[in-house]
Amino acid sequence: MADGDEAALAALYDGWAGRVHTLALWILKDPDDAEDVVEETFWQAWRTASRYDGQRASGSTWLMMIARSRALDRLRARRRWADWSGDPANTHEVAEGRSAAEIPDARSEAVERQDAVALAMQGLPPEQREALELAFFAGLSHSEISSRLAQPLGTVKTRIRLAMQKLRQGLDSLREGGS
Amino acid sequence: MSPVPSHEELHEMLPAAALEILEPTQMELVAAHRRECAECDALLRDYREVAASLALQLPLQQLDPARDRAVRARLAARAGSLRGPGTRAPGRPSGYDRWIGWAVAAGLAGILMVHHSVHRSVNYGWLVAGVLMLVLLGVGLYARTQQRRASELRKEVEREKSR
Repeated sequence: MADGDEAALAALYDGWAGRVHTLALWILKDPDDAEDVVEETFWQAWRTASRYDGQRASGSTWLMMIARSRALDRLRARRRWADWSGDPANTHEVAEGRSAAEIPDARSEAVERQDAVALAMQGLPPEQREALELAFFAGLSHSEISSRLAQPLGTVKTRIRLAMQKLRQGLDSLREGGS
Repeated sequence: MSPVPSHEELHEMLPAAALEILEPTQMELVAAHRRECAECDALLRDYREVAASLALQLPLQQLDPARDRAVRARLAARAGSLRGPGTRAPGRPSGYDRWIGWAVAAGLAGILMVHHSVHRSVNYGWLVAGVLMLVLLGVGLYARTQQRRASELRKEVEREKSR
């Protein structure tokens, strides 16, 4: 793809456009913005493919983290605009209520890694899951989450760290089961 | 926290680093540490896999067909507009660009060698030509590495698609 092979870009798009769009729409709650993020994500992936190192990250991790960054850039820009204009309608925040892990059949692809993380996600205490989702899907910093949840900063840091450790243990279990 | 965090303190920052929610200065500290600590480097990669997996838990929502067509068209137009040196047009033999690049590089090096031999002392001309050849060789090797990485990425994508 790094050598300008447009067929590779099309293949990448075919395989992952749905997933990238899902994440962008979940973060931004706006179809127009999500569409733009899909385009920017694949464009960035195509332009920076030469920096991708398959030994250090799976292709899906690489691509989804690009998509998340692009979507969060837009979300943060909206927040800045809302702060400046005083228009809260411009900040579409993370959906409240049901979390991704609570939605049945949340995944259309049966990937073992996803299953392991999903299982671990369902086992998280609600307060840990809430803090983690605000960090990942809203890109909020520890202090912003602390303000949002009216919890001490140290508590928020601990919740996020514990949540990530438990999800990682889910991955470890998968690896041990597979070895 | 001390001005220079300890290994344990940096270790505790890794989940937040994977989520990219640390302050920029903290991110820099973690980035510097992972270059020296294989354990933390591996752990951070694990946490990044976990973070990306969160995105894959969401219920799939495809782009609607009209938006999908529009994005495809815009990407194709952008990719097409960049076609030129270093990119390959569809259908062109894959080795063509590489060999034409080497041929041009060798020709340039030859011209420079002759030029410097004629207009300056012979030893100086050979020195410049030799350095140029080394630079060109380095560029060629770099290009080959990039091609190999792109190939790895393509295989990875195909593998994940086939799961």
